[in-house]
Amino acid sequence: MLLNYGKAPFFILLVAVATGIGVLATHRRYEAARPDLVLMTHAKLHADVYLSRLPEFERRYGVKVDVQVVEEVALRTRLLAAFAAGTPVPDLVEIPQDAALFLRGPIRDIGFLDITRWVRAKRLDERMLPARFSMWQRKGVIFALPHDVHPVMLAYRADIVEDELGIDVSKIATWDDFAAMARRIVRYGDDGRPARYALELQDDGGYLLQALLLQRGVGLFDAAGNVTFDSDVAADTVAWAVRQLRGPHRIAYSLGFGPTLWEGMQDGLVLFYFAPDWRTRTIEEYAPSLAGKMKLMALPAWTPGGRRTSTWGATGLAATRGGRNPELAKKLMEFLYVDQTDGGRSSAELRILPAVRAAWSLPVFDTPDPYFRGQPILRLYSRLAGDVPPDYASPFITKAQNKRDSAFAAASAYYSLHGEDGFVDFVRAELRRQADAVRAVIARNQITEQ
Amino acid sequence: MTPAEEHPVHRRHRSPTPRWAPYLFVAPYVALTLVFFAYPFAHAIELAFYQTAGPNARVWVGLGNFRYILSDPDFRTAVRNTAVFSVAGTALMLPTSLGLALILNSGRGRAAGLFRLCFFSPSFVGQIFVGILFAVVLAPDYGLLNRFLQALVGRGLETRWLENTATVMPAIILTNLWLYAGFNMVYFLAALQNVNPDLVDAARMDGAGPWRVFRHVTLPAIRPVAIFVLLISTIGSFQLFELPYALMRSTTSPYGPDNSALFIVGYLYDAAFSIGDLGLASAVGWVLALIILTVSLIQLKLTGAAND
Repeated sequence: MLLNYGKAPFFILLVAVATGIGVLATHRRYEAARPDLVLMTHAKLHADVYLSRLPEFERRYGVKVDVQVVEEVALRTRLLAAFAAGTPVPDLVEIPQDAALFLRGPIRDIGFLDITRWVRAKRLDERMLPARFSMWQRKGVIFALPHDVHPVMLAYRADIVEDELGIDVSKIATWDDFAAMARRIVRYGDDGRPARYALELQDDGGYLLQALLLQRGVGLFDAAGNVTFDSDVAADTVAWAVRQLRGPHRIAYSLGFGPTLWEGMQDGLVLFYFAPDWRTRTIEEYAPSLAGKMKLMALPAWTPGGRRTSTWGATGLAATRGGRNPELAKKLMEFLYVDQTDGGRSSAELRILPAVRAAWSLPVFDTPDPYFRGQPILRLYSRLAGDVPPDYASPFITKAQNKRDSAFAAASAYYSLHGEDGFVDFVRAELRRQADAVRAVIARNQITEQ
Repeated sequence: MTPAEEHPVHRRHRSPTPRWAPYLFVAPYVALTLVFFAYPFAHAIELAFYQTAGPNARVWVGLGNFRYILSDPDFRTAVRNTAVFSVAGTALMLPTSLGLALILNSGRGRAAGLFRLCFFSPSFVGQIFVGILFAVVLAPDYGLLNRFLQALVGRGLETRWLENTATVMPAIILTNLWLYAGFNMVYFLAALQNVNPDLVDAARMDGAGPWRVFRHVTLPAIRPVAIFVLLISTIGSFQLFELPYALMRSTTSPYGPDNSALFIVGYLYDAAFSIGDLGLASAVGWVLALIILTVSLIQLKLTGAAND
C-alpha cells in the first residue's frame, strides 16, 4: 500500500522500524550493564582520582559505580530540568558552590537527600570542618558533604620579591604592612605608567574581592539567609580595593583569568596572587617556567593578630532523592570524602585539603613541593584551615554576587571621576542600594518561606 | 446505459490507497509538534502567571510576574542594552555585508571564491567558539587587538574592553559583526547575482554613473533581500545570548560590569537558572516575543514590505 506513494515512504518506514529495534536493543543492553551507582561531577580531575579509588569500593561492596564528567553549567541546567521533569537523575552529584540554586523552594521539594541525621549520627559535622557545611545547608538541613576547605594564601614571585628586592615577607603581618611594602615593588615605565604591580585584584570585584570580604567575615548572606554585603566593614573593604586599583599609589592590577594571567605572572607584571590550595596546581600547570621561583605566604590580616586566610570556591557531594540506592550512595560519599584509606594521596594529588580535620595531620601533606621552593604547601594550608570563615549558601547567591560586583564597578567609576571626595559615603550608599535590590527579589519570593 | 455509465465523473471508483494513509504520513509531524511545540507553548502561557521555586512548588501570582519585570531596573537595563545592540549592530551589519557582497560580486575567479569562503567561515564555528576566541583577542596587555593598537598608535595596551562599562557594548557589536557579516553577505551576493544585467547596461548607456546605477537599479532589485536581512538581523539581535555569555565568561560576571552586557535573553536565563523561577522566565519570554513582534511589524510597515 505504501508503495502506491512511491518507494520513499516505504524506506522511511523501514528506517523508522530499524531505528526503533536498534534503540530497544541498545537500551536493553544498557539496562543489563547498568551500574549500581552513578556519580556525576563537574571536575575532571576529581573524576580521575575517584576512578583510581573506586575499584576498592566496588570490591568492598560488590557493586559497580559509574563516574560521569559534565561541564559545570550543563550539569546545573540538566539537573534542574531533570528535577523539574521527574526524569532519571544520577545517584550522586558533585556540585559547585553557586549551585545553591537547588536549595530553593520548600525543603520537602529539594531534589537532594536530607542527610542531616546521617551526618549527625556519624559525627561528620564535627569530624569535618563545621564552617564548610555552611554552603550546603538550608534552615539547618544538610544536603551535601563538603569536599574541601580551600584556604587562601598569597603565591608570590620569590625570585623577584626576595632575591631581587630583598623583601622579608615574614615581616608583613597586615594589609597596611603589605601596602607599604608594595610601594617598593611598583615600578614605573618610560611612559610614567606602572610596569610592575604588587597585587592581583579584579577590576570587576569578583572572586578576589569576595576573598577579601570573607577574610573579614563578610559573606553575601548570614546563616539565616539575610543579605549582609552592605555592612560598614564591606564598604571599607570595597573602598580599600578600589584605591589599590585606581588610586594615585595604586599597587594592584587585574590580569583576568585567561591566558593573560599566566603571561602576566611569568613576565612578572604582578608579583602576589591570591592562591587557594587548588590554584597552586593550576599555577604549576600553566606557568611551568616559574618552577622554583614561587613561594606561598599567609594573607596579611586586616588588623594585627587577625585572620590570616580566607576561602575561595567549594564543592559538595549530594545524593539525589531520585537515586535508586540512597544507603549505598551514602557509603560512597563517606568512602570518597571521609575515609583516608589511601593516606591522603588523592587529596595531595588534587592539591586540595580535605574537609576532614583528622586528615590534616597525614604525613603526605609534609611533602615538599619543588615548584614552591620546597615548601610543604599542603601543610601550610592545613595550618590555616581551622580559621577558614563560613560562607553561607542561598538560592539567591548568583544575584547577590552580581549586585555586589555592580556596586564595586560603580565605586571604581566614582573614584576615577571624583577621587576621595565623598567616596566612602558613595560606596556605602551603593552597596546598600544593591543589597536592597537583592532583598527585594527575596521578598518577592512567596514560596521559599512557606 | 446505467446512470453510472451516463456520468462517469460521478462514478465512485475505489482508491488504490486507504483514506487514512495521508493521516498516517502526517502523524509523526503532528505528534512531534504537539509534544515539543503546542504543549510547551500552552504550558509557557500558563506558567507566566505563576511564581515557581523548585520542581513542584508554584503559586498563582496573576499578572505579578509582568508587573515585576516592568518595574525591575535590571530588566530596563536589559531592554536598553538589547535595543542599543540591535540598532547599532544592524546599522553596521547591513552596509558591511552589502559592501562585502558588492566587492566580491565585482570580482571573478578563484580569488573571489576564496574570499567568499574566508568571510563566511566564522559562521561555521558558532557563537560560543567566537565568544571564547574574542575573549582572548580583546584581553588587556596580551590580547591581539590591544597589541595592534599599541603598535599602531602607541597606546591602548591596557584597554579593558570587557571590564569597562563604556567598552563592553562596542566589543560585543564588533564581535557579532565579525561573526555574521559574512553570513549575511551570502544573501546579498545571491541577490546581486540576480540583478538583471540588461537594466544595468541600459542605465549605463543612459549615462548613469556607478552610484546612480547602484541607487536606482541595484538597490531596488535587492530590496526584498535587504528587508529580509534587516528582519532576521533584528530578530537575532533581540535573541542574543550565547555570544556575550561566552565572551564575558573570561571576567567574573556573565552580564558584564554593572550589567553592561545584560540582554533580554540573559535576563530570562538568569530568572530561570539563577533565581530558579520558571514562571518569571516564561513571563520574560512572552514580553520578548511581544517586543520582537512589534519591532518586526514596525519594520515591515516602514520598509513598505507589508504592502508588497
